[in-house]
Amino acid sequence: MSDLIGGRAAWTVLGLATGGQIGDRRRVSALVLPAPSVGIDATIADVRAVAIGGRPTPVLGDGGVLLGAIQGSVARLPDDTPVESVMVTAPGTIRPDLRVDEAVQQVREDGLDHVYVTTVSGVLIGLVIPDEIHV
Amino acid sequence: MSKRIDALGAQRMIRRGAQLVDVLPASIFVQEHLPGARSIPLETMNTAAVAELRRDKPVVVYCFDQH
Repeated sequence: MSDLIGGRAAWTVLGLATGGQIGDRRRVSALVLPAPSVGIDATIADVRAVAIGGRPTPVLGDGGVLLGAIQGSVARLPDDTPVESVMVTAPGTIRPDLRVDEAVQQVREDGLDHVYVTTVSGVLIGLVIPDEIHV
Repeated sequence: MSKRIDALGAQRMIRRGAQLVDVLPASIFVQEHLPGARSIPLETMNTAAVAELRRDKPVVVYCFDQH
């Protein structure tokens, strides 16, 4: 027999799916949008190739850990500009097991229009845009 | 004797056919549980309750968080 360390909470904090009458529909993990990313060695040209509309582009390090983000406004920079030199470091993040209403409130209080969803170890799961959520 | 595993380890075991047992109260299980879990609340766990578990497949047990 194996004992799951941290129980159900350890499962949901990774953004893994659950079932049941409520399940994970009340959690941020159910509303995460894909967030195409680039590596820390990328350039602005790489960002342009993956960016979705005016959304920021996350910059990832080893193991998919979120290191920073490139705002849409830097798209005018030269193609060979290293993302490391223009990225916003330590962007706001939340965990996937946070309740949706709590997440929306927190992000709005922080004055953000988006927030990244990561595991506790910083691995990027995706992006949440509160204005696209109706609670 | 049980061993302790993390969530990703549990996920791997489940994919390989491990049985998953939720020992939370049934009312909580109904609201939310891990995919494929069987509800055997701790307060009702006895020989009869676990008799339906297969003895040839590993079992992963979980509660709410730490216990």
